[in-house]
Formats: sequence, structure tokens, C-alpha cells
Amino acid sequence: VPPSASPFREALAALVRASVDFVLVGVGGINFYARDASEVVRTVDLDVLLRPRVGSLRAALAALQAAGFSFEAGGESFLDVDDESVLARIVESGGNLAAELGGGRIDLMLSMTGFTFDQLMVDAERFRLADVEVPVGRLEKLLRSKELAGRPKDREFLRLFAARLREDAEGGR
Amino acid sequence: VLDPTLSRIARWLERRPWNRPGTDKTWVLESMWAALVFDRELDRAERAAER
Repeated sequence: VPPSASPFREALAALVRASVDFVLVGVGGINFYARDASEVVRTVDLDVLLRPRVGSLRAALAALQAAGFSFEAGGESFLDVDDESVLARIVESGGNLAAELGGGRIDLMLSMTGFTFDQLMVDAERFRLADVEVPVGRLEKLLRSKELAGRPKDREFLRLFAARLREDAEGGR
Repeated sequence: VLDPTLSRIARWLERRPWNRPGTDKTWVLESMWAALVFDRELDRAERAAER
């Protein structure tokens, strides 16, 4: 991947091409609703919620591995991409794996706070990335998940998000 | 239930023209990536300056 190309886009295009069931969530998902680059919030990773099935996880890992990504779990390299029982344990525990390429990190999540995969997919918004279409969780749900997670960084994010947009939203601009 | 202010903002944002279904959002990922590359380079330069 050349330094100027986004591994985020590479990853999502690979998942779409492999027909992996996923929905974008987290700050990366919230960024999809930004008006322009000045409203995009910095984040070190892109959160991708997978359908919590071994088949989905296996397909995601295969697609990303073919695109050049390597994997990490709990801070260590994850190599058991074909081990059905290991993948099943990750799915059952609602855990996550990180996919990494050229400094870009994708968090492959099997669960998220407040919503199931189906609850997010049922009314997910669909946006384009050039020639592929990706599902992004509804903004209200992504914000609610952060509210429920309630970590200090989530609360601060929501406070800044509201402070930046309250005036525009209430003025109807 | 989501905080009412956040809920109003979410509904307002989702109705904006730039969020119509099917809008090309490639620029969002490119912006996120550009910010990461910038931070990394800055970090590298600062560490080099310290040596």
C-alpha cells in the first residue's frame, strides 16, 4: 500500500468484495456524517462490527489477510485465522481483533455496547466509497452506544460533539 | 434513551444533504488517514529532535 493510500478504505473495500456482513460503528462511523474534513474527528482506528458468527469472522480475516493486513489480539500477534475453535471462542465472548496495515488499524468487533448487530443493521445508512457501498450505523445509535459505554473519553467526546453542533442543529442551518 | 440534545443533533445531521444515502464518503476515510499520517510524522520528527 503506498503511503498516501488509506488502509481504512482498502480494508472496507476488501470486506465488501468478500461479501462480509459488517456495519461501521464508533467514532469512524460518526465521522461519516461530517460535513467536511474540518468536522472529522481524529481516531487511531476504525471500528467494524461483524455479524457475530464464526463464518463472518473467518471471511473477514481471509479478506483482510489477502489485502495484506496482519492481526493482533490482546497486544499479541494473532495467527489462528483458520482455527475454528479459536474463532468460535472469540465470537462467543463478544471479543475483538485488530487488523493492521501500514499503521492503519481496523478493530474487528463481535459485539458493542447497547446494540446487537441486527439492531444496527436494520436501519443502517448506506454510503459509497467510490465503487463500493458500506453500511454505517444510524448516528443516534452510535451516539447512544457511546453514552451507554460511559467511559471518560466517551463522555468528553459527546460533550464536544454537542457543543460543536448544537447551535447549527437548533438554528436549522 | 439518548440525551435529547444529542438526539436532536443526530436527527438534524442525518437529514442534511451531504448525508443522503449513497453519498460518496471516500474523503472521510482519506481525512482520517491523513490525520494519522500527519501525527505519526510529527511524532517521528519530535523523537528525532530529542536524540
